[in-house]
Amino acid sequence: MDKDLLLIENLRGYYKGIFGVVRAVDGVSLRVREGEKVGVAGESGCGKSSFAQLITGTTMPLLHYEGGAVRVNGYDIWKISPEVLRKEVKCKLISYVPQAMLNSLNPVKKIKEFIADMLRERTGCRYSVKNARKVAAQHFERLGLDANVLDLYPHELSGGMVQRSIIAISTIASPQLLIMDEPTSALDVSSQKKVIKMMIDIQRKGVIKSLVCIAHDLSALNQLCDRIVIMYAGKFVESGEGDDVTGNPLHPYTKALMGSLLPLEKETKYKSLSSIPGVVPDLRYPSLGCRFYDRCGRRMKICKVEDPPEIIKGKRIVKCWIYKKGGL
Amino acid sequence: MNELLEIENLTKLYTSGYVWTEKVVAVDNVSLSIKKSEIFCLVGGSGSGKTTIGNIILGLIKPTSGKIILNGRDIYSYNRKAYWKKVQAVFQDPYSSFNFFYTISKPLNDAFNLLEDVPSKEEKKKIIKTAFEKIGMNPDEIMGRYPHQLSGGQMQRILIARSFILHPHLLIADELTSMIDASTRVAVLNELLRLKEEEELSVLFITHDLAQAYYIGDRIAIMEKGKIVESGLVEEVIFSPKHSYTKSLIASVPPLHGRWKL
Amino acid sequence: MSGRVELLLKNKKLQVYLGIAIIIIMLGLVGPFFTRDPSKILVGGIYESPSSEFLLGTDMAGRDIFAQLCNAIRDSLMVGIIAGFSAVGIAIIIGGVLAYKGGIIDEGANVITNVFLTLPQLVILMVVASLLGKRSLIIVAILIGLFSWPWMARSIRSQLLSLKERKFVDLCRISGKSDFVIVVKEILPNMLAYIFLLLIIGISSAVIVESGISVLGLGPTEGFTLGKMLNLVIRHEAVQQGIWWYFIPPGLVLVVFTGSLLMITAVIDDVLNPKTREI
Repeated sequence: MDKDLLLIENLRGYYKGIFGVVRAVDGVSLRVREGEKVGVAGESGCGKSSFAQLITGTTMPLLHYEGGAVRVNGYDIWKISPEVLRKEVKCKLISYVPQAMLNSLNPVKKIKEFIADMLRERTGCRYSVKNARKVAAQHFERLGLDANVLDLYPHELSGGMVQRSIIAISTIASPQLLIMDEPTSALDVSSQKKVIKMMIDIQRKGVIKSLVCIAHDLSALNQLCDRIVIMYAGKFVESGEGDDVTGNPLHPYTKALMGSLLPLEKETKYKSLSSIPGVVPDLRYPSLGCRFYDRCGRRMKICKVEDPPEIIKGKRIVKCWIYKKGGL
Repeated sequence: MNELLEIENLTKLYTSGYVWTEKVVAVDNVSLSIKKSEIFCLVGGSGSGKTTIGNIILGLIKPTSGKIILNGRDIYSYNRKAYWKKVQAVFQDPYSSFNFFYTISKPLNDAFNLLEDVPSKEEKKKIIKTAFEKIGMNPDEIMGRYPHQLSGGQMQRILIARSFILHPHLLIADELTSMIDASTRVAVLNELLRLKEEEELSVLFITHDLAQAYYIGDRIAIMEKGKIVESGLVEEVIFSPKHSYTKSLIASVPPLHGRWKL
Repeated sequence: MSGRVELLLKNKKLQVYLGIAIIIIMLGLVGPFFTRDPSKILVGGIYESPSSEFLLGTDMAGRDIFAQLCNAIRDSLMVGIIAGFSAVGIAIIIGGVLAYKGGIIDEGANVITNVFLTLPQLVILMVVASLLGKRSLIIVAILIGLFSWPWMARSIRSQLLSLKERKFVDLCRISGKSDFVIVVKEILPNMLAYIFLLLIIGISSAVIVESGISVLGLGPTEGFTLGKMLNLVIRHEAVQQGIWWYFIPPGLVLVVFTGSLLMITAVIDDVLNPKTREI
């Protein structure tokens, strides 16, 4: 039985500001085993980026941790001191690449200078740019990247190359868990494929043990991950093996989502595809029942008033009342 | 004559600097034609030149050389307002397309500016109501709202409704759906298909997404580094590609079912 | 937008600073109607210390200092406001309309801005002042405004350029709107808060610059400003003679007024900047 690398239990995080309290992540649980690649898929506003921030202990000013446990290698990251969090967890265990990182690189620093900065921060040792470059070159070649990239500035590289460099840099210290938020959404399809290949390689070669990838593109996520979790309005509504979830979606939201996607197949042109009617609920006033109620084609009376339970069948989990009665 | 728009040998060069100049070729000798009542897709990655072509057709940028002919006349021979009655656009970022200072009715009311006889207040209201009905929204609920109160998909559909007010012949849709959730994209695309059928509208659909181009398009042109590398009927180009770039593009699209062997 | 104004007015710090500024402004606007004629000599004794009759005592010629102060505030304010508005106006035209046009017009405007930026404001003001025989308050105000616009034009231009990239500008262009209409009705409204800040900074710095040249005797030949009051203080050696009710008030009012205006800009930025907003 593989060890759990990351254990999340009933995690909650809310945004608090003059606009009110937005219950962005409202009770989600997840286990990531060693050697697993898990994808969290959802559309805009579902809370997936907030989720990423909450599990790495790095939250933006208005986002507050409200409860639940996030356990990595024995540490509960929201109960330890910031010092221990920084030294033990962020430097050695978890590496987090936030969204749109490739646009935030300092344009006057060469790639090798980033690496020197990062190594100094993470290990506390003094690294000269030359030494950093040596260490980085080894790592880059191991991952199949051209080490000459290290001597260039970010703007001299293509978007795909920058993103791959960022992934390489964030895994130099061999973290156990890599968490990525929308790694490919700003890239064109060819770069996207290269980045996905690289992420698969990193895990296969043992540079990292497990990976959590947060994205909205289900097809790309399915290529990368073993398991996929579907997130909607702050809750996880379904999870299972990638091909299982896309091939046989159970939750009405997943079904509707699959019914609105456009795969590049001949039949697509002649299918009748439709969008999901309605809009995402206002998470300042979430309903006590199922959050998909207003848009669900198969809603029942109980869905409006009671939060659906999580039904487990083998490797699949669905949070829906439909499956309570007769089972899967 | 069946051709609505013809582009002949269009080139756009950007030069930077006054003494040591650097030239960037954004569009390289591109020729294409769009028929009436047709959805023509222009597909390519970033830097391929597709957005530049759209902006040149719209008259926002001047080309370095080449001709663009709309309905048999050079586009620069048209009076500007008359031209923009025939050619309109919806852009990629709905949040950028609205001025947050005003309500969402602003771009719609501005559109009336292009008509020769500006309609009365009542007539404007009626026209807007009809336009909204076509996109399945109720103007009374929405007109007074501010952009930040709506979703991306709603904003894009309102911008499409703006074209219903003007009844243009050609709509430039520049990455119209890339900032909208996948689950609402289809509604917007279906809108365009309906416009094509009911209003005999032609659309220049600029995108990087082959699947959307296939769903909605009649003909397609693939662009790389400012040049068109392959073009033709959408089913032929996508399912029997000839150029190596087209082939690699298609191979890079992650399939929804089935896995790559990586 | 009204939501933001409400938010600002509820802020306690802003209320304090605004209160201070308004008190001083009131002294300047309303004071002159209720006090004695400041130019009348020998209404009291010479160098009388403050009393209930003369709130700030009298000067070397027996004139009411409090009355002088109120009039000085009024005239200084006038210079400040005219200079501030002129500077912002010029900045909007050069950094706004001309910058929007782009191309060679924008380049030309940039050159002019840079030239004015490098000119030494005070030196030129002093030279011009010494050449003009008569200097009214308005002329001095406009002169001061003519030198404060460059940095404002720069900031307006950079914000304008980034707003120009937004697609609603393109939509306006393909709706047939003219450049001028786009700048004034589409882009500037988005910069209202910033322009308001520019006005406040423009007014407060103009008040200080005017005081600076007036102390040297190169300020307006008509009118009576805080700077001119300080000029008198120095000429009559009030400091050395220990006449504190004469030399402290004008300087204090200058510092407190401009200080409160600048603090208002700091609070506005703090409150409206979405990144530093507190709950």
